[in-house]
Amino acid sequence: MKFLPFLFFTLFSFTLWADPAFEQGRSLYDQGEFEQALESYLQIPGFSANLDYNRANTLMRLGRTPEALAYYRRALWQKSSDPDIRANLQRASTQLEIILPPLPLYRRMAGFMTTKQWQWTLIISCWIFAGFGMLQYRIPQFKTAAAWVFPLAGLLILSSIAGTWATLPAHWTKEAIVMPEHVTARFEPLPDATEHFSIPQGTLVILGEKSRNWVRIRSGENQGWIPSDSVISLESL
Amino acid sequence: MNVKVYRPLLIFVFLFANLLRAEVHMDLSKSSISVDDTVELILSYKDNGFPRPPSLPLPDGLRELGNSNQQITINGHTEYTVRYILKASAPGSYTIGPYKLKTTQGDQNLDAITLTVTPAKVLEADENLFVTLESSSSEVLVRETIELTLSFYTRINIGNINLIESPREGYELSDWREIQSGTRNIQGKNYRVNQFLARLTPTKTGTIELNPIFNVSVIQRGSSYDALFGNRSSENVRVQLPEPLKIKVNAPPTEGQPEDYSGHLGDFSLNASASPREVNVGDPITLRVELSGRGSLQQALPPGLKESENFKVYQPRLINEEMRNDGLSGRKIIEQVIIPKHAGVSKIPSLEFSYYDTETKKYKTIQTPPFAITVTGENKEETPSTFSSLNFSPEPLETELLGDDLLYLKTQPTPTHTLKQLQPGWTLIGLSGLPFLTWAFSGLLMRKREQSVKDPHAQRRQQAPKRLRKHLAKLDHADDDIYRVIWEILSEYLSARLSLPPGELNLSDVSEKLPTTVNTAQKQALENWMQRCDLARFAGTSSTETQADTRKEFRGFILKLDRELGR
Repeated sequence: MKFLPFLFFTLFSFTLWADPAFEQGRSLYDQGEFEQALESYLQIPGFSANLDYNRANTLMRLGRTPEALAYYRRALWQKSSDPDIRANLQRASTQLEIILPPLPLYRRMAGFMTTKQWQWTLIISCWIFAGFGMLQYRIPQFKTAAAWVFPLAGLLILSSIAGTWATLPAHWTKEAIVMPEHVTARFEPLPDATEHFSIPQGTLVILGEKSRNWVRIRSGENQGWIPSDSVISLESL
Repeated sequence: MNVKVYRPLLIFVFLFANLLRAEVHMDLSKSSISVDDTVELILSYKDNGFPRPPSLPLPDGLRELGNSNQQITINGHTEYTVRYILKASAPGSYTIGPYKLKTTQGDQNLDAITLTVTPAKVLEADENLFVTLESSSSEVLVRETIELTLSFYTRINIGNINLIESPREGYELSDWREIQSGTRNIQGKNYRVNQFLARLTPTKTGTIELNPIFNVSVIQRGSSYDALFGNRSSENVRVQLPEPLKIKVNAPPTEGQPEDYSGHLGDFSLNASASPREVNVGDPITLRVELSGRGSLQQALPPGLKESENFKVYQPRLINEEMRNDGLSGRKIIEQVIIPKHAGVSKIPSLEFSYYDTETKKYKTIQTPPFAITVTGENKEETPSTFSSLNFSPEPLETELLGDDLLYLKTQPTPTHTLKQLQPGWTLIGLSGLPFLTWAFSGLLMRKREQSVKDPHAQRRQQAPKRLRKHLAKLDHADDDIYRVIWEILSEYLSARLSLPPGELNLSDVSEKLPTTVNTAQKQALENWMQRCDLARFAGTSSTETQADTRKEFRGFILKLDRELGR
């Protein structure tokens, strides 16, 4: 049982972690040096909800709203319960006069924890379940409690599996934001192909197959081909 | 000397000398002016470049209103003339210069000149020029806006009329706007009338004394020749009211004053909307509030929702402001993002705005209806709000719109990941599966232990090798009756190992129970040892040297038998 405090410590002690570039970015942001602040934030490898949020704020200050929108969207996928992310995301989308679709219900339900937290919860719940099973051999009283502990621990495991699945990055890696003011989607991946529909800047699209420098996108019920460089995918941020 | 040869040389020398020549001159259009009058400072110089008008430092009391630049090129050289318009704000004698002007030909000295400024001529009101000032009301309330009408009656030609700014204490005054000009006959005399309008808003109680002073340009009559060619001279004079206009400023009545009254006057209406109405905990709702009407709208803002236990609020944002030309009526719209803090919040409370109706002389409180909302989802731990609502100060004139902006950066970093790290991998599967494997393994051990407790023969069988080695240690200390000890060891070991009743060991039972893993030679050896033990009961023990060999031999035999039985 001594490992449990260690696991909880690992799980909830994220605030102890710090990259000097993170603090440097904030300092530069406070001084109004947004370009340098962005550089600081971008030099931190990987992503997290807070880091993407700060990157997006800096991009907003630089007037690069579509990119900021993409970062806010990715931050929201990682921490959908954060009201700050949602407020600034709404502000960015209002600025571009677009409406972003909300996250799926399953993601919003699992939004109070991040992917890693769900994975750790799954591991811990497995240890609780099996640990209780092991202890009942030695402590007879545990056998009487098994009637409710096992169903509860089993439910916790199932919930953790569902939460882990709901927060998998695979759900958002296909999302992308339109960069130019307007993009025309065509029926075929050719510049002179028949125009199908037009989408404004900041619109959220779902990426599909690629063909040369064209990508098939889905926007609502419409599907069409647009140049690859006219969208910024959440995966490539 | 041939002149034809030297002519080009002479022309060159002449032109070069002309280029080197730089003349500088500075003068005033008038040597004496009155306060608030203007004078031209004319600076002329020759230069070959394209100089910018030089900046001339002026003594205190004189200021430059602007300048104009002119250039004339004659015979290959350019003469520049710069006219600076100077204005004097106080009487006195001013020395302008000396200056050192830097040109392409070198530094040029400019001598100082003197300007005399006399006190402004105050024109007493007479039948040829007088001013009236009227207010729409002689008694007003604080923050109630009234109109002032200023009329110039003249029978002489006047030019520009400029208000001389004076400190404004206790009131705000808009710019004067000319609303009408024409002629009017008063007591048989025709006057030219210029009417101006301004709005006055008192900011504190008391009496306001208005005595505006105007600087009027009076055009002098000249000869008909001058008038024909526009050469008319003018003189600036100060014109003011014979006596100041007094306006009494009262505070709104305290009787019936609502608690949230913040000093607004007029007649207003309030509208609001909220969307969406069905949200999860933590989802934003946009509240839109419109305040319209007539009165102190310029200083007013639509009310916003304040922080409460049910809602986290963000600062309101003014999204629309439409004021009519009168500056009193129009509408203002704010948007505010509010976030329900927990499930079960059923409504957005109504918003109130109180004002004093100057028509009915009564206080009124208008409010929006409460909006029914549905909030679902799990309750979140409340975090201290760092977002200030609009501070609706009781002093509306000092109210500032806080504006709208991004919420600040996250100050605490969280661990970063790559896409690969977030994918469930063998680490997750291993760490999740390990407890179940451990459980299964410990379960097997426990089951085995339980089985041994239930079956004493099996327990004896399992413990036989261990006990054998313990008893072999006794054998080393048996000095006299060694075969008795060997028999005891054999008896206990074989009965435990072969599940035979203790104490009744015989050769036939042992031979029957021995498994096939024990070879024939080992069976034969066992029979020999059992027979030797039987014989030793009657024949007695051997010598000490023989006993040592016997111990060694038996030890080798029994350990080999144990190994074969354990297969």
